[in-house]
Amino acid sequence: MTEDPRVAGAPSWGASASTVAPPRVRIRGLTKRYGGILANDGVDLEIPRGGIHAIVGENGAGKTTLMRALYGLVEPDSGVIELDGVPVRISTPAQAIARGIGMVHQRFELVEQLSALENLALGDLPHRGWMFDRNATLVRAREIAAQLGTTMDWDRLVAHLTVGARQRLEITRLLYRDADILIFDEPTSVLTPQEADDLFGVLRRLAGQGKTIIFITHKLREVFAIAQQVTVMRRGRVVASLPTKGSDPQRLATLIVGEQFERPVRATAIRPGKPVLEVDRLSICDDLGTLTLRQASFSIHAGEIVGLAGIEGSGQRELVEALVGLRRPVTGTIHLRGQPVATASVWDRRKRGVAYISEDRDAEGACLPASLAENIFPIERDNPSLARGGRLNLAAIARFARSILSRFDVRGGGPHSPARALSGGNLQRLVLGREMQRTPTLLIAAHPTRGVDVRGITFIHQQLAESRAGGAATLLISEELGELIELSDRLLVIFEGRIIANLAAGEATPERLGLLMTGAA
Amino acid sequence: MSQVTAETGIPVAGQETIAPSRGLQLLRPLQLAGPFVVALIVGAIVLVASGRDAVGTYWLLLQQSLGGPTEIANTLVAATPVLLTGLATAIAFRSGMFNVGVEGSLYVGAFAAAWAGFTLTRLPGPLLILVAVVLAGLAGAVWALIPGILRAQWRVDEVVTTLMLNYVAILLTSWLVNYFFLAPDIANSMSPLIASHAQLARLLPRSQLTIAFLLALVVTFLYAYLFNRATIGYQLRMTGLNPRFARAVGINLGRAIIVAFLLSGLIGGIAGGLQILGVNYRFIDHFSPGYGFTGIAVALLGRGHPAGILLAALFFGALSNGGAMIQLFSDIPLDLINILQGVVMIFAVIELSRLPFVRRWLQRA
Repeated sequence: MTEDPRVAGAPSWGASASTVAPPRVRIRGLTKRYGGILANDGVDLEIPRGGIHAIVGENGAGKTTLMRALYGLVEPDSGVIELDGVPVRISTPAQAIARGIGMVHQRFELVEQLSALENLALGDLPHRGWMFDRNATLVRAREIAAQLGTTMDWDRLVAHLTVGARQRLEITRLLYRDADILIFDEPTSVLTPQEADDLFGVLRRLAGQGKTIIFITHKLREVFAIAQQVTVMRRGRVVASLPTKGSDPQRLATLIVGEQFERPVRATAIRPGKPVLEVDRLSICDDLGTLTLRQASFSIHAGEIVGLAGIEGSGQRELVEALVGLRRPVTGTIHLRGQPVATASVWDRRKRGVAYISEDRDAEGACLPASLAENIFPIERDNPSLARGGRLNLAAIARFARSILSRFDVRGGGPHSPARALSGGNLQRLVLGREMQRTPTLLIAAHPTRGVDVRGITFIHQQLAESRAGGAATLLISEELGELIELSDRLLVIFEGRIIANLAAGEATPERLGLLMTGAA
Repeated sequence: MSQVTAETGIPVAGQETIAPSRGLQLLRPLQLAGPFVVALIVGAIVLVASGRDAVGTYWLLLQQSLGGPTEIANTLVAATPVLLTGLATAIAFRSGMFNVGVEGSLYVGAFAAAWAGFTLTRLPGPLLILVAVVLAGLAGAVWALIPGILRAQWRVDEVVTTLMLNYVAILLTSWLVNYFFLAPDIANSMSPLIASHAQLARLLPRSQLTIAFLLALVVTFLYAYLFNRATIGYQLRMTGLNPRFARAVGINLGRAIIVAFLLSGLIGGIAGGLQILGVNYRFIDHFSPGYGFTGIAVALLGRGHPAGILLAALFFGALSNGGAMIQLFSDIPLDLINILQGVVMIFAVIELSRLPFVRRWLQRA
């Protein structure tokens, strides 16, 4: 196989691009806004023909939105997409495919009840008269498989294919549709290490044949394993585009997480009290039955904030749900003040002082159609001054709600206003008020400052510090490394469902966390 | 009455509780009256198209349903079962359970009450009635417990189970009455008459209006109390509005689901029982013209609000009473009434503010 000369060295980049052939893909000033959030903020990106181009960044950095815009799944608010220097409008995936752009999503788009061959032909069915031309399809399929250097049992139902084989089928299908720009959204997240290696082989081969491959990932070692060029996104913007040769994981990690944070000196010295939460060899499955947390062991002491750092989807959510009582662990134990609680109900744990700030404020943390009083009341429903003998004391509940609203400075409504009317920051104050009006024994705070304005963030940090001073044990999950480092006494790092590091406050820097989180260290 | 209530929890349109804009405020009466107006217009079109006098027919309908004490009483009689089935349905809906099986509870409840009425005849009057009503409620509750447990324990979709169990209930009671409790010397599939002291006393001479209607009003008040004042009602409502939230604050979802089904079935059973004790006096195979299903319409039309449910039940009562009567006095077929009911339903669940032309108007306002 002859190597495409353009792939051989580092691709020509930037300066010379305008004088020689225009880049295969050029995105200029692409902006996409979702409500108040800028998912893409004037993104400029150039991808030359041939080669593997990685796009990295934290969750919510805008990688997927950008690629979905290129694939016609997202309509950008403004900006231009050029293919080979020609501006194009791509508003549906069908148009994208017609222009040679294909995408392999994290969740495969295959029909499980059909065979591999039938899936391949779907959408572009070769036929002879009324009949599906199976033989012609098969010839084409074998050709492409040979081109990829793989094999496939074409008559097997997709339901019976391994995940790796399904992914190869998706790739085959893109080639079958003559795609020559192939977008992969975190393709290795579903693969075993062996399958991932096979995928890399296929990708290198495709790049060698002159295909342009765009590869979204979280894992820095993958970037250095296969990509020639890497673009780093942060908060909807491209912060850097550089060749992988001459760069290193350290530098990329810094680019991904942003500027370094000065660590403030703590006012109070850490004098951890008794252990409040003890987790021992805890393993948890997600809804699909995949083991997402493996053998996690750690403890949190009274008056201690323990931060949990990790790329989203590394098992944090399942851990949180198991601690709160929303999910049964598969194996392992959870002790709260020495009592086993792994199978105790949510209510049982709440009565023992477990408080929970959900990462999903609108869907789980609050009940938007209900009133503010109704949002505050539920965890106090055994309080005899608010409800007695199965009967609500509406006046007392309203008074209680009003006191919390003023104590936690919730603006935008009274006890009877619907929670939907509050802004995100005020709603989070309401949640905080509900969960922290009494100092919790154990506070599970999942992304407490997500979508909150600066004033709110400061307030939330103060509250966390206050409850720590009051003796609460806190597990803090956040994607803001600065926040984690600033608030935590100790930091755990989770990677692919395992807790791989337990750092004292002084040992944690954004770079070090970034490396650990992405599996590069 | 309801201070804490911000939303009904019924999975239909038009429950926004944010202070509405001026345009939306103007729209509100239209949203409430709209379905009825449109229904009358569509009905008029059907009448005129079939060569009949629309205004005259409507006048007759009004006369026959609300024209005098007897007519009003008969409307209340017709409203009673659908008020109860409407409340039964609304309890489940507001708890997030799409229970469409009230018809089934109604059948087993009716059979239980009839059985008590013709078997436990040695009990004194009031006690016999009480026992019959309690048995009816229990039978309905147990019937609803089946889909409740299936849903709470194994997440079996309640729409399928409750819908299917309706047919099981109808056929089960049919089998019971035809094979074990057939009244002697009667060709039709009926049970024996219940004891005369089990029959509910009439409140008016020429009408079947009994304390059943008053009882239904009491249940309406209890329904309002449940969702506005009772801790368990609060838990049910949160479960209906946002089950994830409910779980996270420690509400036992499984228990809430069971309670919702039990209460729903209880009231559905009582609806059937009262129909036997106050109107039919015996269990008749396939006796219900779909009271349970009309209850769904009543719950949706009333938006889960007690007063709304009461009004919707009265409306459907008036329609079915007036419709039955005009059939006697004119050649208007009963199908017209069904058309009216259907059109009201369709337009009741349309959210006016979502229609394109209304939305444009709102944006300008």
